[in-house]
Amino acid sequence: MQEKELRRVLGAELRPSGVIDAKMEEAYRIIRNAEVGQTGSKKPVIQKVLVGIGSVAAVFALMVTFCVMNPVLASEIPILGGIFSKLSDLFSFGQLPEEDTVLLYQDNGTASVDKGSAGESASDGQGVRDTAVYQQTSGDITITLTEVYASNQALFIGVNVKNAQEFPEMALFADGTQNLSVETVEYYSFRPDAIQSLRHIEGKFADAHTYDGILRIDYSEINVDDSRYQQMLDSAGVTPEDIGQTGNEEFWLTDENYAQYIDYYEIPETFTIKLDISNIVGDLAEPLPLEGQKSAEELERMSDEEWQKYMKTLPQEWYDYPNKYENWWQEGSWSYDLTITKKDSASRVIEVNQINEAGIGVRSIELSSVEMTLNTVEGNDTFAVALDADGNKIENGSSNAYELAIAGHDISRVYIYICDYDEYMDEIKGYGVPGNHQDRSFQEVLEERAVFKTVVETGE
Amino acid sequence: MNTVNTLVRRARRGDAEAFIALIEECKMTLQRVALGYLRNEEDVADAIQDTILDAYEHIGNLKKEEYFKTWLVRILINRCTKRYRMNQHKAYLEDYSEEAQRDVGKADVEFREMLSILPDDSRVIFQLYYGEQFTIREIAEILGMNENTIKSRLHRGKEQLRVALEGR
Repeated sequence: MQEKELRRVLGAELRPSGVIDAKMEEAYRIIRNAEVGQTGSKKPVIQKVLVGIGSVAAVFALMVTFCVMNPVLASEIPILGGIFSKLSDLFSFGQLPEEDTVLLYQDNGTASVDKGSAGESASDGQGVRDTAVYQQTSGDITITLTEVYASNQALFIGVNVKNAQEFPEMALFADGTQNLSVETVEYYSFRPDAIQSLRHIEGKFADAHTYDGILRIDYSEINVDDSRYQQMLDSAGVTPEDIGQTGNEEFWLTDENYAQYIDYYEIPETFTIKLDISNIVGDLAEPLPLEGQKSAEELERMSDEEWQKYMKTLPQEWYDYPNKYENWWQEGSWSYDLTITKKDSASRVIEVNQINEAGIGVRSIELSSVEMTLNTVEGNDTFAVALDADGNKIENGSSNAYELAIAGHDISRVYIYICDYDEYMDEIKGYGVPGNHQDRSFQEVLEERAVFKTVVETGE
Repeated sequence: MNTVNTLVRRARRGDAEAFIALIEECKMTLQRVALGYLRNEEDVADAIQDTILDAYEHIGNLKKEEYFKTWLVRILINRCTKRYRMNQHKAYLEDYSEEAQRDVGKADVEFREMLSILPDDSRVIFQLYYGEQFTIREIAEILGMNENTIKSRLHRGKEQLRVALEGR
């Protein structure tokens, strides 16, 4: 189609719409009647005029919540909601709540305005925050933290990565996401020690130089206090390297002694985190071939002895992470200070407290705007699964199987089934795969074979 | 002296009529861009109304007068996106077919048909580039996207459009 034709059609004068004209006239009426301030100067106090005017007031109330509580001006609102919105279709937890998201850095280079809640730091006293706090450059890589949302279960941080050089082609998952990983050291105000971690950022490359992603930190990963366990080891003169050796089984942390040695820090409503990143790593779309590398079919045909012999021929570097065969990475130093305040109007805990005679059941479920955590009571040989009101399986959004992504699900009613682990993995799970076993539904099979089941009405 | 710039300066000083005149200048743009997001006329009307009120509230902070239209369209797209997400479950295809049966002009029919053919991720870019004749740079600013991404979407979209039209 020729450009001229595109311009003609897409730039056409459309017929006037009575509906649109009426709404515009209503807006003009409101503007013309805008209240005059005490000084006599005309100022658009639109909010007061709108009270009591039907749907317009409701719409404007939304705008007030979104725009005016955060005194970021319309021209400085992140386009299309920033990274959380950009990735809402891809991200495993869907669209994170805009009303509970705090903007840290904005793409037009302006400073974000201090709301007095999450993200307080380096303010100049007038509420304008120095953007350098959230954008750091080391070598060719600039990492910007764009926005943050903290529920009662996890912390989500928008991350933009810009590379002065072109990124190599990175691996693409079936769901369309491309992940980067960052090696971190994290200092939280509610615990005395630092946490070293390898964090995964879920997102996508916008172009050859730019990556947008969301970093999720689950509170269960940062609230474990193992100081009593460490004290026990110190008293016994056992080092972490010694623990794995035969004969040291008494020093292992097990289900039986877990409660004896492990406590949990309470995550306060407001806390600080110093996030230090020392390396950023990606997985190459096409790993470099190793010299003498065998194909998958060849490996399958090998005996165990042949396989072990083959693995010893592989270069030591291949076993490292990251390595040049499988990864791109960039070491550096990017450091951020964040103040986080938990804010999610949908956060709540529903007590269930149903345990059967075998000691299996559900204590509670924790809800936020985007996820549901199952707090079950189980042994090692069971597995829980949750279905929504329509009988659809609610999948996990993170590597933790019980942190479920609720976006797109009707969770007014939640069916929770706990099954024998092996039976679930080998037989039952397949019924939950769309297209499989059309003769019976997943829920029918779970109803029949679960060792525990319950229904929770959430009132959502 | 540029009329638009004069009107913007007056609007920033609280002159309601100057602001309304600016909106009237951009009315067709607002309608066409909103239709790229929201097929239902009521939703389009509501999104435009939200945009007008939002813009009037914050026009004092528009940095450069000559960017008024770019700035206004950016606000509109934000409102449309929000409204689209709120109503995502609605059957827009059904709304569209009902509207197509009404007595609308040929230009409207062609316009809506073109929108329905355009790929989802390129539709608004096509509308802004060909329909409203914004530059690549302006579109990048409105949508918060990289200029190269805009160009590649235009290129890819035209190819997809060509294939779609050949198949008709």
